[in-house]
Amino acid sequence: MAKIFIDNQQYTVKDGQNLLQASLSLKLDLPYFCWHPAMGSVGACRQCAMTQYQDENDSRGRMIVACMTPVAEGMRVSMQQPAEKLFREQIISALMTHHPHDCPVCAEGGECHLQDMTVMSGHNERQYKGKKTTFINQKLGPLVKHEMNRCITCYRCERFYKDYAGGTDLAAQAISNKVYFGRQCDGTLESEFAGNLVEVCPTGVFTDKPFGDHYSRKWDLQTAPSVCQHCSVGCNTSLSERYGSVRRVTNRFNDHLNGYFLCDRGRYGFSYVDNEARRQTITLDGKQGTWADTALNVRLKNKEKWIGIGSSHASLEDNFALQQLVGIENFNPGLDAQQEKLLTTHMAILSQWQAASLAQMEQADAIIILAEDVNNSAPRIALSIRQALLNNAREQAEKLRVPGWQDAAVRAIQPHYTVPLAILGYGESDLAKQATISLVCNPKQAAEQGFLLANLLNDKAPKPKASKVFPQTLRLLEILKAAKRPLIVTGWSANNPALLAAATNIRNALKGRNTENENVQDDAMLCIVPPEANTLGLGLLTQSGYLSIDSLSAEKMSTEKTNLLVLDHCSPAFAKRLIEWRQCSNNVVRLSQLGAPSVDEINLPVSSFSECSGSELNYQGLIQSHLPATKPSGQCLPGWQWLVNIARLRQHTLGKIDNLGQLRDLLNRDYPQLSTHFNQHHQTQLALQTPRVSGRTAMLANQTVHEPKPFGETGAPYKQSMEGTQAGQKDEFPLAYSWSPGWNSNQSNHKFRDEYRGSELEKQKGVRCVISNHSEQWLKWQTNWSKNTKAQWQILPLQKVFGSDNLSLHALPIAQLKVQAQVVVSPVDAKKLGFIAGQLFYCDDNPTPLQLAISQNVPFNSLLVYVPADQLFELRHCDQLTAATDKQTTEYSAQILQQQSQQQAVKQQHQERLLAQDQTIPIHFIEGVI
Amino acid sequence: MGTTAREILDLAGGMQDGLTLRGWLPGGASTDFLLPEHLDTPMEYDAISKVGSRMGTGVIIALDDQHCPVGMILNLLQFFAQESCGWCTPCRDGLPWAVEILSRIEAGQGAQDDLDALQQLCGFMWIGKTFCALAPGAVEPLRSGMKYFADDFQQHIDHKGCPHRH
Repeated sequence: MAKIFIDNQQYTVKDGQNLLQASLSLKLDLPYFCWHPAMGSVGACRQCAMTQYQDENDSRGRMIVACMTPVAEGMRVSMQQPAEKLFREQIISALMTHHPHDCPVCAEGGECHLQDMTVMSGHNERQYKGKKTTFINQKLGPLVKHEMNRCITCYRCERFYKDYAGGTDLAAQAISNKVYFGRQCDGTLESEFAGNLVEVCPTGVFTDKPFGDHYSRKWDLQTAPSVCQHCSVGCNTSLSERYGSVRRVTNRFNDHLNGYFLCDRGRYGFSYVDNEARRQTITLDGKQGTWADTALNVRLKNKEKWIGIGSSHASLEDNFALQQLVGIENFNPGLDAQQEKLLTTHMAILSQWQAASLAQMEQADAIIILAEDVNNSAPRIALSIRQALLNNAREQAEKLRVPGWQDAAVRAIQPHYTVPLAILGYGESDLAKQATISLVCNPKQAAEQGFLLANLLNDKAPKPKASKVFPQTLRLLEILKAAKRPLIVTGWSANNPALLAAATNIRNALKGRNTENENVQDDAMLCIVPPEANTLGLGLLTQSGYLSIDSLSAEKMSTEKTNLLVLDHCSPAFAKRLIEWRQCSNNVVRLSQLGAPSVDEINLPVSSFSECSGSELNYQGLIQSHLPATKPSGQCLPGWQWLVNIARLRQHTLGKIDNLGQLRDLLNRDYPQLSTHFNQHHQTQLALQTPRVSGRTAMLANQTVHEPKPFGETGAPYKQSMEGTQAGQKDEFPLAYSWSPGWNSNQSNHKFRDEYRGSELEKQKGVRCVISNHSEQWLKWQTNWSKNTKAQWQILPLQKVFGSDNLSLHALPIAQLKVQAQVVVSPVDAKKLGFIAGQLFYCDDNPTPLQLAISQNVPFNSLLVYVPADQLFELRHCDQLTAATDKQTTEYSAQILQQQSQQQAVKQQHQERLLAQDQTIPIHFIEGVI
Repeated sequence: MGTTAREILDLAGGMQDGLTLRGWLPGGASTDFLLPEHLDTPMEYDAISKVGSRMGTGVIIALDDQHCPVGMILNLLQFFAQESCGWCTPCRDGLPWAVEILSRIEAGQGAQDDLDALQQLCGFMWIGKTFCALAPGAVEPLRSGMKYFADDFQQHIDHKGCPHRH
């Protein structure tokens, strides 16, 4: 800690930080633009100027910028003297010389950092008499809108996009006051983190385009804390709604996970909840019905056995309620056979080794990735791994007494202090481009090398069947022995449990590596990426047993008649399995969000994640809950509520549940480790909106003078409220929205960030739900992992950020960016067979056209295939690649064009529907279903 | 080092026929103006510093009485504004602002408050406030020029034009 003096007042602040951070942590209103807590200090904007004095007698001092000045014991600075106040005001005045008078029409207005800093500086009268520059904007794609005239040249966009996120197609161009931030020419921004520009830009240069199409001012929005549903990281988000529709997703700060940034799939993938394909009504054999229908009741009360099929993207509560209703022995997790094996392995591993948080991963000083393309399967993890690549440079800088937040300095020396990144696997990716050690191999080989590596590190580790140690593995051995915080990453994308076992054995082997020095902590880290938001929730529920998919085979089912109760699924592979099961079932009851109901089933429409409370377990087994921002429309109910209603019909004990709180009490009974988390959520109700601003009650004046009842759930910690946060109410964590007096933009996060320290940080660390069994066993190589294919090529699966997650494909902005099916061959194969990149091909008899790409990162005897999540492709091997005929190619291109024009039409209709909805404002006045 | 400016100017051939020296920059574009009365200062760091300027790049630029000081200062500031890298706010936005004002003054469209604005800009872009020394360098001829040639500036404003032929 350091004792410092600001305006002659003594404060104690943490060492190592800069003066701007220190001042903000003391709740002082020091303005700034270019500093960012995640991106460090560069000293460009000069807005955070303070005066520093030599001692008590120095009355003149000299101007410094706080973001570039480390705190030092005894330092004397001022913030409120005329010199610095004038200078800070002049900075705003200078920035305003060319800033357009756009506030009334600018999307940023009301949450604009420039607005806040302008008011804070006191500048209010324009002195500049000249004309303003006009820039020509660029079309940057469907996600981000560009308006360069508003730029104040803080460089945050370039620093984020290029330096932090590794994007290559956005940079600062030109010099002086003509600096232009954009691409070389119009075109969709290529980075999957482009959406963060919207939050990083302090003005309205980069704004959320889909949000802009159906816009609302921040002060009119109600914002609920939520969790992203599009991968297993579980980034914390905020859903903002107005007039009953969710308008946008913004980042919700979580120090352990997403920090300040989201990926575009999470940011823009939510709008599937508004899709026309959302089921709204109960249907029975294709006809609309109501809960009171006798026919429906009779079917739901069928006395034959009910089998429940869970879903890895349905909430913990939904899956648990289903399991309670049908019984543990009749609950199937809804995964395929290989995924069931992966889940068992993953849960066993988690009960031995904790998975590292993203914040921990960012501290790694050596990284090994086994056959998992995190850039596409869990992009936020890839972003964190990227930050770790600076750690050795940062350490060296600190040795030279240059603090790690001196961003330019650290990046300048980074090429000389690289962090080893080893990628054993296949496929192109941003991380692959930065690998210092690279072995192109198939998943089996990657796992074998992993086992061998573990054995070399610790001879007690079991060996695999193969024995060849590649030179890359030997290099890795030396690196891992010396590393202080090594990180091992793998995942489910390659569908191979051997990889999980290999990663775990390496982790285990690293445990004993510093036996001489007892003071060195075991700081090795493990991260295994499952596919969906609640895959591990299924793992928790199936630990004491489940009905495996083998038992669901058509033969077994045809011997006894069963009923199926199925949670939300949208993958074509599942649809195919369901068709088979359907033939042997009495009744099929589906609790679904999307899609057209089939004629031979009962369909109960479920609320989406934005319309009800629910919890998921992320890749760490951490439980996180999302809260509703809106009420569902039509007859939608949360999945668990339908199940409770069915239970009541059947007089099952589950039917005694009256509300979500009671359901969670049941969960707590079976899983006591959850109670800490759920108890946090049973506190006083807080508001979803900032303190009352005028106009709110006038919102519905055209319909009624009465104030509508705020919508809320029993036992939920948040409710919609006209009042907003009470004056004097402490900033409670987690805050639904980001605001602080004088700070209307998301920069207000930094005013109460210190509340994230201490006890709040502990709470945010969350509850890990997989109980440790304190054993650390080696995982043995299983013989069936060594199986080889006799086919010409083994097919290895590829993922894409925009395309491999089914739910987000129903969100129009993501659908517009969907990557079409691809097959990637090695240059050797391409040359041998005379293939040209871009041509269409078919694998054996499979009808999916695949566009050919050529890459060095294709292992021997392999093809890499990516198919969007809404298309079925189950081949694992291929003997023949047949080129498409001209006719087929033309048909394919026509299809793509048709899809695109359809999307335009849908976008138009969607827009009109939402605008029409705004006219009637569907606020629910009646008490009734949640 | 130590030779006086007067000697150096003589060695260079002195002023052309019919021209009188009005002022001089001892060390190139980013140094403060000095007057003919300072010509006997030895050209070395301490001595030049004592009279209020710098050795700079060691290039003496002389201003004669037939050329407009405002025009010269405008030319210098245009150079600096063009060279500004664009990193920090005071230089990137302040220098073009100074150019905007000086252009109008030189064109006869200046007002009294423009002189105040220029003074403010001099303080705004001084040492310690910017990321590098380019802007403070640009301020040196501007502030010293406004001090020593204040009457010329005032004349431009009062008579709405530049009295010098261009």
